Amino acid sequence: MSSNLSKPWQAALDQITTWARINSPWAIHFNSGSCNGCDIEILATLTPRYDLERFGIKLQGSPRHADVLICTGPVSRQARERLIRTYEQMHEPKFVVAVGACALSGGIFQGCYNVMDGVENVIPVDAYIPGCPPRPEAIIDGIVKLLGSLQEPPADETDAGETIAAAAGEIAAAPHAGSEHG
Amino acid sequence: MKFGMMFKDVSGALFKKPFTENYPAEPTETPDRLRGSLVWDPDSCTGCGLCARDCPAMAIEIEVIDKKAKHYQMTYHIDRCTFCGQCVESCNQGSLVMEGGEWELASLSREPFTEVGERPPLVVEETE
Amino acid sequence: MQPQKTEQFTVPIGPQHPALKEPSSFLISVDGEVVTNAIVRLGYAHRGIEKATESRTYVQNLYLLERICGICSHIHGTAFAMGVERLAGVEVPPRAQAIRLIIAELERIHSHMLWLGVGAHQGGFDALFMFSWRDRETVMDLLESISGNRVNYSANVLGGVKFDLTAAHIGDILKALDYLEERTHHYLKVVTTDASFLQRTRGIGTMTRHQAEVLGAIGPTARASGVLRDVRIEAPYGAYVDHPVTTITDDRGDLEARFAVRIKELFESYRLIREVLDDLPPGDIKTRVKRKIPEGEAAFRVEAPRGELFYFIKSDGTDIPSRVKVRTPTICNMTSVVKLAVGHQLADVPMILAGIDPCFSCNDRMVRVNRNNGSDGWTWEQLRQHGIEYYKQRSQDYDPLVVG
Repeated sequence: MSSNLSKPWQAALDQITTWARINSPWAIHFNSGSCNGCDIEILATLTPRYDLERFGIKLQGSPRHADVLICTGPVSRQARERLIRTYEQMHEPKFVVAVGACALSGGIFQGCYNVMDGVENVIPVDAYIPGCPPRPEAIIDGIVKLLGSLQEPPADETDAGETIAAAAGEIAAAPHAGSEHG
Repeated sequence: MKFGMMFKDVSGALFKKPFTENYPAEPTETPDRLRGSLVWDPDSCTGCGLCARDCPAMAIEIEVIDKKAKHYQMTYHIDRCTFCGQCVESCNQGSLVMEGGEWELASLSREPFTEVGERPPLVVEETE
Repeated sequence: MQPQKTEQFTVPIGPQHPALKEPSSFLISVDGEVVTNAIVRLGYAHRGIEKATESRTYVQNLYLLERICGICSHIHGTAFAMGVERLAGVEVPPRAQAIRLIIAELERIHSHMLWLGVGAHQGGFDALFMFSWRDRETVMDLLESISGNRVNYSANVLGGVKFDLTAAHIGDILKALDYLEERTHHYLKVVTTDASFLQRTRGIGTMTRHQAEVLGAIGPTARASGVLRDVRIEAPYGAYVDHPVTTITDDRGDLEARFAVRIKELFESYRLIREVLDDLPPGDIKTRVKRKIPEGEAAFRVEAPRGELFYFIKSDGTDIPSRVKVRTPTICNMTSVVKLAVGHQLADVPMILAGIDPCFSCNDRMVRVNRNNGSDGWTWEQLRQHGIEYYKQRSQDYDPLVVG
C-alpha cells in the first residue's frame, strides 16, 4: 500500500481494511487428495444447517478472489504443484486453513509413497482443524478462531515468503522425489 | 410439466424458524457416543501397548520407563488421530475413553496437539 | 458462400475445480459449443493406499481402507472385513450382519441425497441443492448418534461391529425415515416434473442399454439404462441373504432416468431398513478374530452406493496382508462420461459427469502391468515422461508446471 497518506489517515484506512477482511473473507477450497470426507463436511457448512455465509464467508472458484485457502488432504505428489500454484495465485494477505487429520500430519496416510504428509510441508499454514473429518461445527470454530486472530496486527510475512520460495526451489531441483517407487 | 416446483418450499421457509444452528453463540448438543479426543486413565493402564500397536495413524506412543514401578508415559498426537476408536476397542483394561471427549480442537498453532501424560512410579516399599 | 471454417480449441477444467469438490482434470475439445473430444486425467488423489496396506496389520488396514472414500466409507470397511472374515473362517453373528446392513443403507441414503444436491447444483437448481442437503442432515444425525462420527463411522471391527443399536436409536431411525420418505416423494416429483430442470436432464447424456453393457457401466448408472446389475441380488452377502432387494431399473438411460433411479432406490432403502429393524436378531455383536489370518486368497463383492465394489485380499499367514486390490465403481463408469460427452454442449458436461455420481478419491488406483520384456514396471519419472508425451501427441501441451 502506498504510504503517501499521513499517519492518522493510514491508521484509519488499516482499520477499515481489517474490518472488511474479518467481515467478508472469501475462501477457496482445495482438495489435495483427501478421502472426500472433509470436503463434504466443508460443503455441508455452506448448507442451511450450518450456513457459513452468515460470517460473510463465500466459497470462491478462483484463487485470485480468495483470502483464505481451505486445504484438505495429505497432499499427493501430483497435487503438490497445483497446491503451490493455487497458493501463489492468491494475493497477500492470505491465510491457509488445514482441515482434517491428513492435512495436519498425513494422518492415516502418513508414510504412503505418494503423499507429502501434510499441507504444512508444502505451504505455510495459519490454522489447524483436527478431526477425521472435523464436524462442521469444528470447522466453523476453527474459522472463527482464525478470524479472531486477524484483529491483532499481522505477523511478519517474510517468514511465509521464504518457506514458499524454498518449496519452489525444492521442486525445481528435484521435481519427482518419488521416483524410486515404480 | 410444471414450473417452480420448489417455490412452495422456498416461500414457506420465509415464515418458519431458521433451520440454521446459531453455533458459535450457542453450544450445540452432541450425541453421547460422539468420539472426541482420547482420555487416558493412568491408574488402570498396564502399559501393554496394544493401543499403540493397533492405532492406524500412529497417534499413540506408550513408553515404559520402569516396568517394575509401573511407570509409563503416554504421548497422544491429536493431529494424527483419526478418531476411529480402535484403541478403546483394543484396551483390555478400559483405560481409554473416547466418547464424550473434546471435539472443538481447532488451534492456530500445533503446540496443543501433542498431549503427554505420565503415570507416576509406584513407591515400592522395601521389606528386608 | 463457403461455410465458415470452424476452429477447434481445448478447454481445460480442473484440477482445482469451481464446481466439483475433488481434484480431477478434464481436457475438453470443443467446436464452437459442441464437445468433440474429452480426455479425463486422473490421479490427483492417488495416495498409494494399496501399497500401504502391505505394511500395516489387518486391524490398521480396516481403518485405512475405510478412508479410501469419505462418502461410502462403511461399505469399503465392510468389504474388507467380510473378506478377511471369510479367510479366517469366522461366522459373524446375525445381529452384527443386520447392523452392518442398516448402516450401509443409511449410508446409501446419505450418499444419494448428497448426490441429488450436487446434481441439482450442477444443473443450476440451487434450491433443490440446499433443501436436499438440509434433509440429508437428518441421516447424518442418525449416523452420528449411532456410531459417534458423522463420516468415517468406523463401525466395523474384524468379526462384527463396534456399536449396538439401542431402543432409542431404533425409534429415532423410524421417525427419521418417515420424514425422509415424505420429502423423497416430493423430490421425485420435482426432478420428474419441474420444467426448467427437465430441460437440463431430459434427453441429455443418453446411454443405451447396449452402450452401458459395452462401456462396462455399473451401479445406478447402468440400472438407469436398463441393465439389471446389483450385487445385492446377484450375489447376496451378509444380511442381504435374508432380506432381498428389489432393483429399480429404467429404460430411458438419460440424466432424468438416473435421477429417478437413484431417488427410487431411496424408497427401497427405507423399506429395507424398516424390514430389518422389525426383526433385529438378538445376540452378540462381535466374535473374536485371531490377529494372524490363515494363508489364502479371498475376493469379495459388495454393492456400494455407486455400484459394485470389489476387494481381493491375499494372506500369507501373518498379521499383515500380502496384497489387497480394490476396484471401485467410479473407474468403471468414467469411460461412459468421456463417450457420452461427445456431441453435447459444453454446459452439459458437468451434468453428465455428475450423472454418474463420480468419486475421485475412490477412483485413483494405480495399475501396474508387468510386461514380458523383463522390465519391472515403470519408474515414476518414466511414467510422467510417458504421460507428457502422450498428451503432446494429442496436441495438448502438458509440460511440467514451472513454479516460482
